[in-house]
Parts: sequence; C-alpha cells; structure tokens
Amino acid sequence: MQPQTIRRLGVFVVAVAVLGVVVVLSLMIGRQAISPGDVLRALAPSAHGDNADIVRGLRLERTVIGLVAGLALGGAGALMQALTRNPLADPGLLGVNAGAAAAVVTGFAFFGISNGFAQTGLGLAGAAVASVVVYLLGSGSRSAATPARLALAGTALTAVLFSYINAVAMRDQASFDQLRFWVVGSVVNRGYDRLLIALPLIVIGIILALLMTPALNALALGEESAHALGLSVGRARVAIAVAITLLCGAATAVAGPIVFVGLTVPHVARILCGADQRRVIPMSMLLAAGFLVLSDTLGRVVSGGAEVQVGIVTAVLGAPVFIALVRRRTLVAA
Amino acid sequence: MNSRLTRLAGAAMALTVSLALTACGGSDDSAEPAAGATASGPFEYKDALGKDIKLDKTPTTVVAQSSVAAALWDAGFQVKGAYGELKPDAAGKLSYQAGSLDLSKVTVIGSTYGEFDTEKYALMNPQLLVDYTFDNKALWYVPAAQSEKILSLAPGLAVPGNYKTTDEAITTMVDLAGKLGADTKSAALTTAKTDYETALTAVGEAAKTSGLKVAIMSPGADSLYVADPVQLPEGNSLKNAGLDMISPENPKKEVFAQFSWEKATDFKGADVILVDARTYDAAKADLAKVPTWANLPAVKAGQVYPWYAAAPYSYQAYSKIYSELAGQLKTAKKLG
Repeated sequence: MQPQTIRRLGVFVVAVAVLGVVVVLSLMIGRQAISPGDVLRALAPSAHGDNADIVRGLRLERTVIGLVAGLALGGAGALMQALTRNPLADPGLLGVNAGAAAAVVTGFAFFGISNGFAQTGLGLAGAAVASVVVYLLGSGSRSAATPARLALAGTALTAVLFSYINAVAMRDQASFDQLRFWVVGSVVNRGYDRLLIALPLIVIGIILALLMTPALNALALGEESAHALGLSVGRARVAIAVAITLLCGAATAVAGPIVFVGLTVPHVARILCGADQRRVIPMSMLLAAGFLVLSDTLGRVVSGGAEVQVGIVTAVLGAPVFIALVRRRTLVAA
Repeated sequence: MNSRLTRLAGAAMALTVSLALTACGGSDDSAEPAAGATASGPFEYKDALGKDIKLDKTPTTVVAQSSVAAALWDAGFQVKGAYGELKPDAAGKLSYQAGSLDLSKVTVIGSTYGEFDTEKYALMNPQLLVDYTFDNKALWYVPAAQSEKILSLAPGLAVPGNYKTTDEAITTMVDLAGKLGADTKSAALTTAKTDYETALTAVGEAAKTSGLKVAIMSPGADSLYVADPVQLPEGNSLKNAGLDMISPENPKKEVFAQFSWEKATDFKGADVILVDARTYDAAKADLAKVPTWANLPAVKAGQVYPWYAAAPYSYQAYSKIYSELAGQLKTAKKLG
C-alpha cells in the first residue's frame, strides 16, 4: 500500500475509534453517578432496576438517537456545502427545518395531532414539501437551479414559513408549547418508535450520498467541466438535493433543529481529508455523530442544575470552532 | 377601516351608556343584586404592589384574571369580565382553573395566556382590574405590551400570587370580595368553609393511618420538575394537616426544581405522586415510555393523582380538591 493510502486509512480508523470512545463516555456519564462496572452490568438485556432504567433506558436511547441524527446532519451539511459550493451553507438553508416545524405546528393547531409518532411523520413530509418548493422556486423560468438561486429560494421560504409558524404559535399556549421543541433540538426521550420511521430514510439518504460523491467531485470543477466529463448536471443535483432532504428532514423530525453541526463539521472533515468528496462525506458523518453525542454528554453534566439541551451545546461549542476556522484559513467549499 | 368602525361604534355606545347612567342617577347599579348592593363606598385597598387604591364608590364593573375571578365568585362577588384560562375543551367544559365561573354572565376579555382584548375591555367601562402578582412588579396575566393602556382604563389591583397556606390565600380573596360588597357571612360561604376544614381534617386522618409519602411533580419530556411543597400554599396546608410531603434536596426557594430524568430514581420513596393537572393528560402517553418514570413505584402502583395547580383560592374549590385527595389517600397503599 502507498504511504498516502495508509495515512488516509489511518485518519478513518482514528475517527471511528474516537467515535467509539465518545459512545462509551455517553453511556458512562450522566447526572446519576454509576460506576463503569455497573454500567456494563446494566447493559445486559436481563438487567433490571434503576441502573438498567438509566443506562439502557435513558442513556442508550439518547446515544443511539444522537449517533443517527449526527450521521445524518454531518452528511447533509457536507453535501449541502459541496452542492451549493458555499462554505457557509447549512441544511437549514434549503428550508428543511422550517418546513418540518411548519408541518408539525399546522398539524397540532388545526388538526389536534399531538402524538409524537405522527408528528415525526408530519415533520418529514413538511421537510420534503419545503425542499421541493425551494427546488421549483430556484429552478423557475428557463435556467436550471443554480446553487445561488437555491440558497436564495431556501432563505425566502424559510422566512415565510417562520412568519407563518409564529402567527399560528401565538394563537394559544398549547400550540406554543408544541413549537418549543422545534426551536431547540434535543435527543432526550425521543423514543425508538420515532427513530424507526426516520431510520429507513436516513439509510437511503446515506447510500444515495455515498453514491453521489464522484458526481460531487466533478461538480466541484464547475458546471461546464462536469458536463464535459459526461455528468448529467441537472440529474446529479436533484439526486443530491433528495439525499440532503432525506438526511436533514429525518434528523430534524427525530431530534428537532440542531445547529452548527452541519455547518462546522464538514470544514473539519476537509482539513483532515482534503477535497475529495469520497472521503469528506463519510468523514463528515463520523465526526458529526461524535460531535453530537459528545455535546449531549456534556449537556448532561455541564450545568449545576438541570441538563442543557444538545441543540444549545452544539451551538455553544460549534460557533467558536466555526469562527476560528473562518479566521484561520480561506474556507473551501468543495 | 373595520376596527375604526368598531371603535367609533364603541365610543358612541359608551357615550350613550354614560348618559343613561347620569340620567338614572345610578339606579341601575342598585337594581343588580349580585354585584354587591350592600357596600357603596368608598373602596380602599392596599394591594400586593404596595399601591393604595382609593375609589369614591365601590366598583361594580370589575374584571379579573380567571383564577382570581373564580375565587371572588365563590366568595360571593361576581365579576363582570374575566381573562385568563377560559378556553373550553373539546367537550365544551372549562378548565378547573376557572372554578364555577358562569361565562353566560361574564364578558370574556381573553381566553389564554397573553390574550387580552383591550377594546372589549374599554367598552365595558371597567372600574377595577384584579390579578395576581408573582414577582411583586407586574400583574400575572396582563400582557406587558398592553399593560400601560389597560391600566389607564381602570386601576389594577394586585393580590399576592403566593401564600403560606391555602387558608391564608382564601381569606385574602374572601376579604377582597367583602370589600367589593359581597356578603361574606352568607350561609353558603359558611358551609363551604366547614366543608373545607372537614376535607383537610380527612386528609390528615388518611395521612396518619397510612403514613404515605407524597411528592408533587410536573413531568416534562426533557426533564422532571419537582415542586417544593414549602413554596406552595396547598403544600403547606397539607403538611400542616399531617401529610408527609417530599421536598427536593437543596431547595432553592423556588417552586420547581428541574431534574435530569436520570435523577427520577431519587424519588422512589414517594408512595403517591401528585402531577400537574394542567399538562399531565396530554403528556401521559409519552411519559409511559420514559423508563425512570414508568418504573417509579408510585407510577407502577397507579398512585398518581392530579395536582390542581392554579386552582381558584376558594373554600368551595379546595374542599373539593382536598376531599378528592383524602379519598385517594385512603385507597392508596404504602409501597416498598
């Protein structure tokens, strides 16, 4: 093997190992002090009692949900930045978060849907509809959907949807309470049943994302060069947009909006792996999963009183990292 | 344009009404028996914000927050308008927070938190507004953005939002109702007071025979909120009656302490859990999936009963609440 290949492989091995350590920490650390031995015993399927409730019931569930949401958000963020060739692109830019929140709030306020399972489905549907609308708006008239137009359409739709959400949420207290979850993301007590409807979509999204990495590399050369390389630019863009929507919509439906993960992590992934999307996308997924689970673990113990939601921790950690990155070097999008 | 028309019509109506009132020399007021014909004034009250409220005549058009309005109603004074939690549920029933308020006799100015129809309020020609204060600065359900306008229409009277005991809370409300002209010596109120005392004694008896430990909680999706009974009037009243109430560790002089769900296992000692009746029904299904909640002994044994937070402070409301609790405590078992 070439030394370069070994080094590249090494980076991935380290990333996976770090993720493993983070997962173990997430099971070990919490508000209730449980010794590592007891944690291991509590993980056995036959275990019962307080420790099992806490470790297997609470910590394992939030770890699994954090992992899946992180994988999805990291993938979506990296895809988004590569697709729009905009280093500041974030999955929220396609109107996905706003679409999910609008659908849930509508369902609750007008149809009384308060069941968590149904809300996850609504969130997904809302995310999908929003991204289709953004795509149609962005590709109107004769020209194709360019990255800049997509971003503009996404921003515009997000503004419209949030005005709508605020108007509905201000109607009464109950709707407002429902909306709260859609303002700050959390992985606590989301329930495996919610994850179950989101999981197939995330798996399809990840497969699609990995399949599209060569196309992303071609797109990075510019539209005309990509065309010259034999790539169907329009079709590739649609496929990538579908992957982003699946990943981001599903993650948002399960855990609510979690910011700065999709924005910051891909930059770190590019520092580690270079510009080749075949490595950047999976690395971004691994790092984001680790970042999310670690943030959630920190949120449990960082404050003296209650836990801090993961959506707040990722913002607090992610923002300074992002600023440091922006100041340190010229940002590369693809 | 529409709102301008309404306002014009309103002004015209207000003018007519006040003309009619001067013409009749206020005979309309004395013809209304419910609104306290006994006292005619002056009305004086030192309120919870330290304000001296002095009116030449005892106000008859009084608007109050729903819990306050319901407390005054039970004490014998009928408000003309109310705002607060007044949205009927799917079955058309009002929340327990509205007590026995009769909405056919009351103008609804707002039916949820943050809702206050200033125009409708102005058209009533209000003479006094009554609300709780929890921070000794602002009136609880009066939206901050509208408060200047609202308080310019009629003086705002603040009653304390928190009390040592429900006895003290109810006495305060009855006293205010009396000052507003209600007959606080009525047979109905005397009976209600006896019922209330009997119910509290029944709680004490049930507590003594069973030795149950009771916690008050408001479980949420992300965290568990545990109330410190010492900070709640009903908590202290129940404690004084002899009920063993659990306080969270290291209390911070706040009503609620917020806990990670991992910490729920610290409350296994509770034989009975009283849960926030405002939110519990909607959250029940999701809570069943939280293992540290579902496996609490009290939850497993089905000894979870409603805590009627923000119920109106009246003998009628609390005699019902306490006698319901006494019944539940009698059937509940000591666990563990």
